[in-house]
Amino acid sequence: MRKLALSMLALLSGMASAETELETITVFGSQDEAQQSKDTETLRKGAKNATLGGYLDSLPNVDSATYGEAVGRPVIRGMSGYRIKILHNDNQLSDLSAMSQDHAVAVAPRASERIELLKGPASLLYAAQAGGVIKISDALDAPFPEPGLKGELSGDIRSNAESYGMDSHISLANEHWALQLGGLTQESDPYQSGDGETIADSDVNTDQGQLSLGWRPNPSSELQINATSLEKDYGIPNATPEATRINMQRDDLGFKYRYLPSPLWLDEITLDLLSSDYLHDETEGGRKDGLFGQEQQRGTIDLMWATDDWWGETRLSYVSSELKVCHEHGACDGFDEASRSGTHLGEAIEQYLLTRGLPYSHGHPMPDTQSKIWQASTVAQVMLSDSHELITGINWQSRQLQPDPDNIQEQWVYPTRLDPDYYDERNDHSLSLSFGIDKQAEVATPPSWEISLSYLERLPSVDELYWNGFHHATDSYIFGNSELKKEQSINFDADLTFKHESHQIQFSTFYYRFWDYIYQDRGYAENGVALTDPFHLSQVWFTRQTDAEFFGGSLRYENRQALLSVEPNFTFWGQIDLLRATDRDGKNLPRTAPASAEIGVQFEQLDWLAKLSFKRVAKARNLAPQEEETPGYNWLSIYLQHNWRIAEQELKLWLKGENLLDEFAQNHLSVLKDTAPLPGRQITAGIDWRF
Amino acid sequence: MKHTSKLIFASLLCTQAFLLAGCGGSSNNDSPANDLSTNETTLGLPEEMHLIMLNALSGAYYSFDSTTEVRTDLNEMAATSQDSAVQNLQITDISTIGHYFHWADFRVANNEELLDMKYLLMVPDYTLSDPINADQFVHLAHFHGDQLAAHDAEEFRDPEAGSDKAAALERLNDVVGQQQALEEEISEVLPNGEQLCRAYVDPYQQFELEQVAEGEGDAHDHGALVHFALTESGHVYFFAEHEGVLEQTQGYVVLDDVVTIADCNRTTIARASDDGILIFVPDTQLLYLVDSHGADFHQHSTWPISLLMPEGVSADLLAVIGSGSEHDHDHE
Repeated sequence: MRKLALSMLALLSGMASAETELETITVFGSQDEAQQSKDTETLRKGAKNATLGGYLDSLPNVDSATYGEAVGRPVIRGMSGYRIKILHNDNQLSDLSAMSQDHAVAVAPRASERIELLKGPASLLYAAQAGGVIKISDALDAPFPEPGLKGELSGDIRSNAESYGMDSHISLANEHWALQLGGLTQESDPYQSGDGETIADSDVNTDQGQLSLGWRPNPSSELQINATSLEKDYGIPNATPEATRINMQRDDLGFKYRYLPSPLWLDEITLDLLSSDYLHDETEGGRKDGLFGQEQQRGTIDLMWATDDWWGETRLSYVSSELKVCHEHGACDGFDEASRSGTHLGEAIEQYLLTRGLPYSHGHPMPDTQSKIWQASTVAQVMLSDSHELITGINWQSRQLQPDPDNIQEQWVYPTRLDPDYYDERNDHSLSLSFGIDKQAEVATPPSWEISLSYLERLPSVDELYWNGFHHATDSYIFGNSELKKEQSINFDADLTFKHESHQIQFSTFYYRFWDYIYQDRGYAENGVALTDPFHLSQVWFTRQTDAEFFGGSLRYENRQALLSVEPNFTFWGQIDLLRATDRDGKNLPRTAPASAEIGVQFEQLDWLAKLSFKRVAKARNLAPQEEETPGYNWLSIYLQHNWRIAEQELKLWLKGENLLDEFAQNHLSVLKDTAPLPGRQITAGIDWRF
Repeated sequence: MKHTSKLIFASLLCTQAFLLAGCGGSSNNDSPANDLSTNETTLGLPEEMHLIMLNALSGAYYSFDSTTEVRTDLNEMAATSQDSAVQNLQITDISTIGHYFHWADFRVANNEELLDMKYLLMVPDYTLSDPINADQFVHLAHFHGDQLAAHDAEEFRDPEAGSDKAAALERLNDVVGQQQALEEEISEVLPNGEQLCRAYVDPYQQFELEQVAEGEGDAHDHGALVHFALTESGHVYFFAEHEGVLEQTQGYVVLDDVVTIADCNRTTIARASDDGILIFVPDTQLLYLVDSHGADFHQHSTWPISLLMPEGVSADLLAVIGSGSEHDHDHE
């Protein structure tokens, strides 16, 4: 039992797997290593672009909500935005990508070593999200790399858009000390769509630097100081006459202390402190019209434990963060307090309520908001029999919000006459539970299966509550809703894997039922005319709640054969993904991923690897009211790789082609599907050197 | 490869990437906004305007070109110029500083109607109810080619009948009369409790409408001519003529930070583009852009005057010469 527990500990603490196949992503916490994580190199082979969504969207029921080449937030089983938590080296990523479709995920997946998708009970250790947890780990996740001098260097160039990328990592370690340095730079020009049109403002530049210093004073203690600095500068290929751009910066400084107690029921204690500073500006025509900032301090204690029967992990954390947003044409160089002349607050908002029936604002769209979050969570597992395992997860969260309207110009402060409690301190709690059972397949008794049932509560985000204003990059006006209740859901997931000789069938299905599902709904007047805001004539969206359900599944078949070899080295696979999402009235929810089917072959021989896949994405038919159809498309991909190994060095040359048919393709999940269709044919050549 | 070589090579690459990441972040740390000559980021003021600012206590006198974002010390320019018209710009006596009067001067030259933007520096005692003569202003400034210059008020003293100067004074006083009539007209339709501070119609659009009415110009659909009204409480109202009566077209706009405007004569409303106006309120030392994008007028942006003036120097008067941002008939 202890051995199994320790293998879990090893997995959770960051042992990389060498998975080379696409497999099911659903994780309840007890599967074998291969099924729980994807090494980034594997994902890169099928990545459509350099975004996190681009790296993951070849996985079953995973899609990417693109917003041009720079932005691709993963959508897992229809869950997007705040319903997916992204972790970077075990800490919640402090960015604002969940807030809006144009905000990029502030992480460079290329620089990571492993990306895990957690769902069900295992995910509750970190967060209670219906879409689960994406756990991105890079070299800094392990303070002590292999002893000696080790390094990696990768570079690639790409046609359409002309681009290059380079990343490197070096470590120098002995028994007591470890130094790690990492760097990444990627630059990409505007790309061409399948019809040959160059997509304006679709260029991307990304730079990242990382540093880690580890100290191991004795065999049971490790300390690490680490720093990550990421900058991403990218265009927004929208329809505004002047170029819209976003410059994003995330700076993290962390301290980690890991202690391995003497053999007790407690196996490991980790203290993790992180200070993160996130900032991005939004410019139009070079003017800084928007600024978003979030400063976050986080402290976490993580305990890994095991008794005779049970083992698991318990986590206690406290997060303090402050979110600030500026909207002022050409004047968002920083965050300032607005002046107060003594006139009554909210005069202009009252006037708009009087004349237009809605409290429109042209000021800063949100109050500066301080969040304090306490979280306690546990995941515990026990073997019910030799092959059956029970895993449970519980996540409790208490949140205090302190909105402060001092940043908002006095005429645009939400008037107390409309809502005297609007800016009051707000205290909320959530409690989420999850149970899962799985059966591990033994050679003689397939299949293996796992099911989980979760009850999840999600507190409305700060912007869902308080946003009232224009958003330049999305060219939309959004009304938040301070009356939002917490979102509740029952999530059922089931996965079945059947292996027999050369055949393998994987079937996954899910059903999620939401109460008070929070979503943005396009605004229409009583006569059916779409509302536009009085300042920019942009679409108006309301933050509303409804009951909703999501269901769907994925079926994958694989066949492995030995071709010119004793060991199986030729794989054929086929995969189908389906999803439906409706509200309580049976109406479809917007931007639901259309059905897709993929077939492919992979051949490995000696030092060669070749992979060819063809994906058909169906026309989006399950449309929300007033939503426009998106045509289906075909996507042909190829990947070739040759490896050389000399002594302790490894060299790989690879060539990759995406959309080889040069089809004009639009992503139904993208708000910018018309102005930013998917790229046309792309050829990338790269080299990886490990020493 | 020896460890040393590997270390150097990989470190170089790491350092390169690290430096790139570090240096690339500079765009979040722009230089101070008034240091414009070396900064890629602009203030974002509407282009094609010259803002002429005057401090009534010190006589500090500056112009600011919104296109090039270059500031010029007019007193210094006048002192060093050999051109007497430029020398006339010099502020020599601060006790004569009252307020500006904007004059959109339409005149006919070579059978062509021209619009020449001018401003007068009025003496403190002048009120709009009086016709203007040489005793009531210090100088009349406008561009001589590319050069801002001024006519001394004495040039207009007792002008010979039929002379250019007499014709100019006549045109000027016509404008004074029109402005008076506009203010009376708007005062009558302002909501109860509001006191008019300044009234304005865009002279370019008015000129265009007049030409169209006379069958001489191209018709551009700007809708009805907007009548802007700034009140003492810092509210901006919008009116348009409907069947001979001024009617409010939308709700009012509240200008940031204004409680009461102490001296309405020293406020300014000027054209920023076809779509909006610039308003200067000395009490707040802010320049407001109030414009519309096919919908309601709103306070789009503000600029502290400190961005345009040398450090520590405030502006009591602000004149605007220029047509503002490009005449955009497509409203793109």
